[in-house]
Amino acid sequence: MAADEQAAAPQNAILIVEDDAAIATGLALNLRLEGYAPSVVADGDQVVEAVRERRPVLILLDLSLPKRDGLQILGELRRSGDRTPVIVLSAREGEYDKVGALRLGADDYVTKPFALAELMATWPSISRPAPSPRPAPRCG
Amino acid sequence: MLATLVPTVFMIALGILLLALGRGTEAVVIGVLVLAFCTTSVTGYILGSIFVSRGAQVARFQHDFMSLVSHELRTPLTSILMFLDTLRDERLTDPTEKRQCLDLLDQEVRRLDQLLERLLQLSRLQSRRQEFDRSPIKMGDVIRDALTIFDAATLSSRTEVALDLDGIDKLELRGDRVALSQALSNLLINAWKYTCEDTRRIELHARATDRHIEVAVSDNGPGIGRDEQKRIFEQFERGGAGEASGQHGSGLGLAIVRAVVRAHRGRIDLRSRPGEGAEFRIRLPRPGAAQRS
Repeated sequence: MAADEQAAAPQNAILIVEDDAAIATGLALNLRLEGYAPSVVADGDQVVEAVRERRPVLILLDLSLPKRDGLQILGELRRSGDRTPVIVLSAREGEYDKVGALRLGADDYVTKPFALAELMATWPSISRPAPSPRPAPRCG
Repeated sequence: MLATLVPTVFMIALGILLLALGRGTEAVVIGVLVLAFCTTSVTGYILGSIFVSRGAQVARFQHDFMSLVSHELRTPLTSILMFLDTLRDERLTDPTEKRQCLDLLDQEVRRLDQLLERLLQLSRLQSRRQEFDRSPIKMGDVIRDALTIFDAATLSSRTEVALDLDGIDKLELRGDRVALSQALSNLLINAWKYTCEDTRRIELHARATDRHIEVAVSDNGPGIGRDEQKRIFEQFERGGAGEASGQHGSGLGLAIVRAVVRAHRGRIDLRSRPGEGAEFRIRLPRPGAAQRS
């Protein structure tokens, strides 16, 4: 079972959490060109599960999501002991969101609209040193 | 608050004491003057705080509105910039992927354009600067125009709207044919957007009562919860089902429909239950109905 999951999750998986289909498509396209294996989740409810299944090396997280707020998801993820690097992508510019996201354990905060080069420049430093195999996230 | 309250209470007490215990007309006159002064200052204080809090409310509303607008504008801008970067850096070699990029660019630019158009329209409507035609029009024409707009907007999966016009075709009313048919098509397109393609059923019922013309658009979509029903007509509000559907929407459509209907002295209601579809009903006054009643 665990071996299966390991096989299903490529070493360079990136999880895109974004409800806007066009932005998600564009990000996925560019990430694929960079040699990553991106997958998209549009719904806040599926994030924790997707992280557990895909074991991404990086999560790109939009803040305004249907059903559940991005900050809330980030908090949940960190509380469950998951340390996957997270870059927050947000169209909100408020200091509150930025400070909140960084406090909750985001690794970077990029404001929309962002230049692709700017975004791409942020993640190698965060994600390239492939993380050592983590223990499976514990629940509770 | 306390700084104004304490002296006022003292002054009122002084006025009452002067009136009750004072001897001679001078004391009474001064007592009355003191009390009158107190009444004026209390009224002034209350009115002042009402105006200040109203002003603050308007400022907060404007701030919320601006941050919502900028968020709505930034979303398509983000993908436009991203696709431009992708194409400019010649990152793509596959022609189909290039095509897809260009199509998405096109779609997002249109989305931005539509958003701006709607914002301007709503702002014109809300400040009552929009001039509406008031000439006699036929309800049948309005409905036919709305269906034409609907067909053009839903080419990706053609849908037949079940019509029940009940002899309303020749009924006349005074109003703006373009604005009304756009409002009606907006309801039809909403119904189309939020229903599942395989089971989609959209109906348009029209009927006339003594005083009103009623047009109802109903669908068999996910429906709208009671707590969302009031908010859904406000700008930038989209139902939970709408947001979850992944459909593009500015959240301005229903706000515009309501403004157009109200400008025609009509009203719009929503009947819906989660899981049982939704029905939007527009009621417009018939010309001459006021005299007849």
